Amino acid sequence: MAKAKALNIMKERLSDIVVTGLVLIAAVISGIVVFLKALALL
Amino acid sequence: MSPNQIKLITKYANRILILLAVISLAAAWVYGHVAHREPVEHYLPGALGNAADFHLIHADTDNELYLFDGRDTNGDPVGYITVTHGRGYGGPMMVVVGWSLQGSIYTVRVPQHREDWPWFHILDAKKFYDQYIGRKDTDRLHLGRDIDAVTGASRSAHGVAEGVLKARELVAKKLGHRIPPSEKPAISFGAAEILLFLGLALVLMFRTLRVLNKVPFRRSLLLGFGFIVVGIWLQHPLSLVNFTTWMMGYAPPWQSNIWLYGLVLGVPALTLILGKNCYCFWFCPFSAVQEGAHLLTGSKVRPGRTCGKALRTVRYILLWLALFLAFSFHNPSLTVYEPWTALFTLKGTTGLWILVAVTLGSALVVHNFWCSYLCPVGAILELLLKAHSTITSLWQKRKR
Repeated sequence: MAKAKALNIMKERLSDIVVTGLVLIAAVISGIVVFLKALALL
Repeated sequence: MSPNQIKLITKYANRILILLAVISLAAAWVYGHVAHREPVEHYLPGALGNAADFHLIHADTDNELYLFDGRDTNGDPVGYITVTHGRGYGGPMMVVVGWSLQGSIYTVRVPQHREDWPWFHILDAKKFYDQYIGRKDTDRLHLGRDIDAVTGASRSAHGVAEGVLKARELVAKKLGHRIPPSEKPAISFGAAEILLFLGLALVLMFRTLRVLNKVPFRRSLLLGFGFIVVGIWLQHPLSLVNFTTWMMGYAPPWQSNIWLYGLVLGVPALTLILGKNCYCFWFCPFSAVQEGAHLLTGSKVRPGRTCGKALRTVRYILLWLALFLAFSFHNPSLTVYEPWTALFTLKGTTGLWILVAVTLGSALVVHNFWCSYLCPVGAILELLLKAHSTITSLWQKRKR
C-alpha cells in the first residue's frame, strides 16, 4: 500500500517535471520569436 | 508566519503585480502613440527615379495625406509623389506612389508596414504592385475587379489598394482631373460568414441548453467543425493580433471582414455575458489539432494541481510581454507568435515553425498543451471570465 502510494507520488512529481520543462521550452521559444521581431524593428 | 498571513500576503502581492502590469501596458500604449510618428520625407527618394528635390504642396496631417512634387537637378518638375496610409492586417501601412506629371503611376511602394513578412512578401512575389504601373489617376482601380487581389495576403492587398485610392484622389485634385465615382466597398457576406456564425450559434446552444448535454461527442463535433471552417478554410483562428489591432485603433474595414468582426467581438462578448468560454476547447481549430495528437498516444501525463496552477500563469506573462512590446513599438504584428498562424497558412518564420514542432510534440504527451498553459487568447478569455464572475458577485451583493 505504502509502496503504491510512493509510486504515485513519484509519478506525479515526474509529470510535474516533464510538463514544466515542456512549458518552459515553449515559453522561451515564444519569447524569442517576439523579441526577434522587436529587435528587427530597432 | 501562519498560513492565513501567507495567503493574505500572496493576495496583495498578486493585486500589486496586476496593477503594475496594467499601468506598464497603459504607459507603453501612450509612449507608442506619441513616439512613433514617421517623417514622411525620408521615404520619398526612389519613388521618382530622376527627382533630386522634393517640395511639399499639400499636407493633411490629420488623415496623413501628403502630396509632393519632385524636381530634377535643374529644378524642373518631373512628377508627383503621394504618401498615404491604408489598413493592412497588422495596422496601417504607408503607401508611397510616384506619379508622372500627367497622372500615370510610375511606382508603388510600401516602405512602412506592420504586416508579418512571410505573408506580406507574397505581394512582391505575385507582382501585386506591378498591376498599378502605367495606370492613370482617371482609371478605375477597384480591387477585385480592376486589380487582382492576392490569395494569402488579401488583407495586405486591401491596405495597399486603400492607400493608392487615397493617393489617386490627391493627384486628380491637383491636376483637375475627374476620377470615377467612388464605389462603396462591397459587403462580403458569403458561405464563410454563414458557416462561422452557424458554428458559434451551435457552440452557444451546446453550452447553454441542458437538453443537449446528452448528445454524444458534441465537443468533438464542434471542434471538427471549427477545424474545417476556421482552420482549414478561413485559415484564421482567433489570434492575439486581432485584439491588438483593435486596441491600437486599427480595426480593418468591416465590409470585407464580417466574419472577423464576428469572431473578435462575438467570442469575447459571449464569454463576458454568459460567463462561459465558447471558443477554447469547443471551437478552436488548434485545440482540435492538439486533441487529435493527444488521442494518438493517449498519454496520461498531467501536472499536479499546484504545479498546473503555477504553469497556467505563464500565458499571462507571455501575454503581457507581447502586448508591452507591441504597444511600445506601436506595431500589432509583434503579437503574432501563436503556432497556428504557421500551421494553418503553411507560412511562417523559422522560430514559428520550431514552436509548431515543440507544441505539437508536447501535445502528444500533455493534453491540450498550448491551450492550457501558453495561449494568449485563452488568457484574455480567462480574464473576461474573471471579470464576469466579479461583476456577477458585485451585482448580487448590491441586490442584497
